[in-house]
Amino acid sequence: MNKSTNNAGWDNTDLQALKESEARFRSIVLWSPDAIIVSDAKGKIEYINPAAEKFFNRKMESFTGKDFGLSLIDGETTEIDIFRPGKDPGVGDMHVVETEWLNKKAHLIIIRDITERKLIQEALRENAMKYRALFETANDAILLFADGKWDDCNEGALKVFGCTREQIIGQDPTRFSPPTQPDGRASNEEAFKLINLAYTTGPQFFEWTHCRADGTPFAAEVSLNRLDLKGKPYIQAIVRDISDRKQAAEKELELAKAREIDRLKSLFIASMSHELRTPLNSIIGFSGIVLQGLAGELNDEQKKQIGMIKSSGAHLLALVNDVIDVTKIEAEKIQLTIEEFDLARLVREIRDSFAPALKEKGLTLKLDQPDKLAMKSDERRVKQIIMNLVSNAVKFTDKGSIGIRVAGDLPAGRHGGERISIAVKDTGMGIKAEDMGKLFKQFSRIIVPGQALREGTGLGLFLSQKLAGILGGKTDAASKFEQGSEFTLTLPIEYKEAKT
Amino acid sequence: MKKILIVEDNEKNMYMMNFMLTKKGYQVIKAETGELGVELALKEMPDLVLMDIQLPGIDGMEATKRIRASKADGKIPIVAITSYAMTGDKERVMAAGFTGYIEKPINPDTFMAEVERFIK
Repeated sequence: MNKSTNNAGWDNTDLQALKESEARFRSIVLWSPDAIIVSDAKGKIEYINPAAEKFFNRKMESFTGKDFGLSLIDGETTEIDIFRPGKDPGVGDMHVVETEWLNKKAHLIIIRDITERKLIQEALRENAMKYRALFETANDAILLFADGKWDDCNEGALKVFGCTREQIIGQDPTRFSPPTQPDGRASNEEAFKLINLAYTTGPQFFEWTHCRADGTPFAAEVSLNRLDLKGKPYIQAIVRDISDRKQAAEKELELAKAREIDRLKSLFIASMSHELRTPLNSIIGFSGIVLQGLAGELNDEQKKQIGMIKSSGAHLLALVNDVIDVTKIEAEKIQLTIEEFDLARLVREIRDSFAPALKEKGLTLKLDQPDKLAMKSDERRVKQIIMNLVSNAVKFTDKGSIGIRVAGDLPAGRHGGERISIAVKDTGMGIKAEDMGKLFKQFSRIIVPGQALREGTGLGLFLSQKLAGILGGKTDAASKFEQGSEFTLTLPIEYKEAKT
Repeated sequence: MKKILIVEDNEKNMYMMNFMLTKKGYQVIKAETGELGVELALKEMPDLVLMDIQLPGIDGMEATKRIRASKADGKIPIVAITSYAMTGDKERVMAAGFTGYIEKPINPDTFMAEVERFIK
């Protein structure tokens, strides 16, 4: 045997084998995906492999001779979190074993990089938490169904069905459905069909009538979706209570009906106002012509009778007009025509139109107003209110006088101001304090014993007050029984559309 | 004798206006439609036209526009006979070429005075 030896006493063949073995192990250490570190017994680093350089993100030179810094217990595996300069923190599973390094006791430290795995785990955990949060806080009922029974449910389900978790888990799928659906199908057959479809074909969405634990039925929107958990097929059911929405839809329908009735009412008003007025206008018009004597002189008795036809017709027309106005006000169909006009001129015209009636009753009328008073409002409606107040005054006054006073809210001689008042004062029968409340009510007539009921509709003051309100003003009354009354209409000088 | 054209489809209104006007000595020409109204207004050259607004065929507004658009129109006064519902459209009536308006229903006590206001 001629073996060459080296100065350490190894023979060359051994040396060659050793070299080969070393090369193999070096290769394993160099290419290992796990970090491999060798430290001395005190933890001073002797060697690190490239995987360790990569894991710590530091070069070997910066480690050599440094303290490893973590407690090293042989035979133990611990999870470590490390700070890495220039890189996100890393997580590793660190296993420490006792070894020998250059004939001295040492630690072999193997670290498996689990940073990525940890991140994935964290993401999964977060997802699970998010799902759980959604599941638990959803207003909808979310239930899991497996093997023909409810398996789990959220808080929402307890609220929607009005029961405890124990009353749901383990129950049949149709425990919270009435025996039949509104279209007559049996709930259990239909539910079975839909669950099957969700298992085999895909998600199912449908409307369903459920019932709460106490039996109250409610409309719901249901979605069924297959969910495979741990290899087991589940059905996730989401039940949304839509009874409020249904009720809203029903209300909407009722509203639409009400609007239709309203429309018909308006149509009725329009056609009535035409159909009732036309013949009345003929009656009033022709009796007026006959009274003029153009077709031949009438005797006194004929004049009296035709006069009665005319005044009855006029009374009926006034009643029709008032009823139509009240209907319009109730249907909010009053249309205003706002124009500028001279109130003083209007009041003079009104006074003139009452001249015959005043003469007949032997009453006087005093008018106290400026020569001109420009206002912007609905002239016809203002006229209607003042006519009504004056006609009441004439009607309820048998002797004495009537006074109309028109004034702005500024001292005499100054223009402008915001409101005008038209006061109509009479020396008539007056109103008792206890009857004042009835004045502006619909169809209310004040009956005074010993006094004949005066002709009227019982709508005049009601209308006057409503119209004054529509024009942005009001009517007030003051009275002393058996001494007289004063009605005051107050209006803005310039009508402004009410803000809605 | 002054000539007055009445364009009105309502028989009773026509009778009433015709009666009062003829009794007061006016010559009355009658038209029941807007088309005939336009024709007679331009042919007869009346001193006044009393024109209903709601008419079968062309309405009173259109008839008046046509009279005003014609060369033969000698600025005849045309007065709209209109119900109160229409007075909100006063401006529209005046824009159509009317001289003025008399409110419906016709009041026999004031009708003649109103008519005579428009006759020169």
